[in-house]
Amino acid sequence: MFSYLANPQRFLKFARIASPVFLALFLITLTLGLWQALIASPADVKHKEAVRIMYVHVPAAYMAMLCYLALTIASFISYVWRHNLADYGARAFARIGLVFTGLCLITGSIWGRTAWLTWWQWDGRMTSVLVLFFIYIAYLLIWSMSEDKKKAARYAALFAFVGLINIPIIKYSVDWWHSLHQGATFSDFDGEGLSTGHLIPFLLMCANYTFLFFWLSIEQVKTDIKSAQKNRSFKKDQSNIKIEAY
Amino acid sequence: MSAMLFRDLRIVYRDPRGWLASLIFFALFLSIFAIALDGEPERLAENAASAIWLGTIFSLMISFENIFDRDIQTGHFEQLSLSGINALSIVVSKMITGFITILLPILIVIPLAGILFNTEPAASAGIMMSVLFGAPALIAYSILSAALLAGQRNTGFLMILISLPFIVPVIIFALSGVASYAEVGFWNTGFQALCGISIIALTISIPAAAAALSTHLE
Repeated sequence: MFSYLANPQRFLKFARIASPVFLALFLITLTLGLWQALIASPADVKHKEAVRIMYVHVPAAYMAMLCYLALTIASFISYVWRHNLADYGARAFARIGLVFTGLCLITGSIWGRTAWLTWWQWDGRMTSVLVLFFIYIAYLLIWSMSEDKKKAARYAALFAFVGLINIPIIKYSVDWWHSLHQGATFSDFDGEGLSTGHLIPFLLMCANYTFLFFWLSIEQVKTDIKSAQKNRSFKKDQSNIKIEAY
Repeated sequence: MSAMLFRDLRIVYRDPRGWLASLIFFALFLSIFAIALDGEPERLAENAASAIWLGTIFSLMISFENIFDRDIQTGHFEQLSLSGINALSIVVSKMITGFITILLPILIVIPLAGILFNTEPAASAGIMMSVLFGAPALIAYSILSAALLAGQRNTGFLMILISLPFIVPVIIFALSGVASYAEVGFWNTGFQALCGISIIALTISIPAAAAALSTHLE
């Protein structure tokens, strides 16, 4: 599938169909998910009404890490095969990931204020997510620093590989350091897990964030392809200027 | 590789501005820190480890920022790569040079800084040990950022931004190791984790820095 979409023209054709589909899915799951999360689902025993922050906080955290994984895969493709579309993809994932990480930090901070009575705590989970935020910023700055985009892509990819060590740290930080942040609920299969009433809006919101991610990244890559095309035709026009004698 | 190393060391020996600048920056940073803490002896002793660690990191960043610049400007790297020398050995030799000329002077003056910050000799020894254990990680991440930014202008801010995310765990474990040094001795969990981070940093950063450098030479 990757090699089929690697052709920019084919990708644009695919995007024309896929982009509105993902947008529609996003809107549908947003409506259903928000209704479920804010109105239909029950309040929690411990967290009371504040449990509803979970439906925006946890999916944002999951997207922040998923974006980084996607970014590393795209960087790998770009590094090995030097493909333009992989570069566009990697940069798009980084931008989206940066926003999701910021969202995760902000919502987490608000939830922390209600649950632990503090906006911020320097524990393993929060510090490592903050580090992820800085890694995204540094990654994007490496892109913008170099004039030669081919080289910038390689530098950025190398940086992305090194930054990958932060992802397992985020995942396991709650197991390694016991702190304010609660442990894994969803992926802990032996544990109690979420009740059905909480699970439905949670899964809806996760799906919703994922569709948003797909839609945004397709749109971003589409824009990059188009602007590259425009640049190329602009250069072609310049080379067509003829010098005529008076 | 040893020839390259001796060449680098000879250059630093003949032009001592580089390592002197980092040492002077270290001294200035600590003095400013002490003044900012109002010069109270107890507060100084409390914050000595943090101040010395921050000073070490920033003076490392400042000196590593242009560690490749001279060789790029004079075309020395092109010559090396033409004669078939691996980017990996360039990176390793630069790291050893960096350790000898930048980190070693700082390690030597840490006891003096301890006097400035009114710490016990044992605590100074703990801080020195933490810098020594964290040194491979610090140098590995600094050389990685330097290689990623090789040949660019005005990279000071980017240098810090690129290496700081990776240096965060180094600082955390170093300071926890220093805190428990007094009771547990030097083989405590903080220092153990620091050694682990150093090994991971070396294995990841050296190949990445070498790849970045050969990208620059393409």
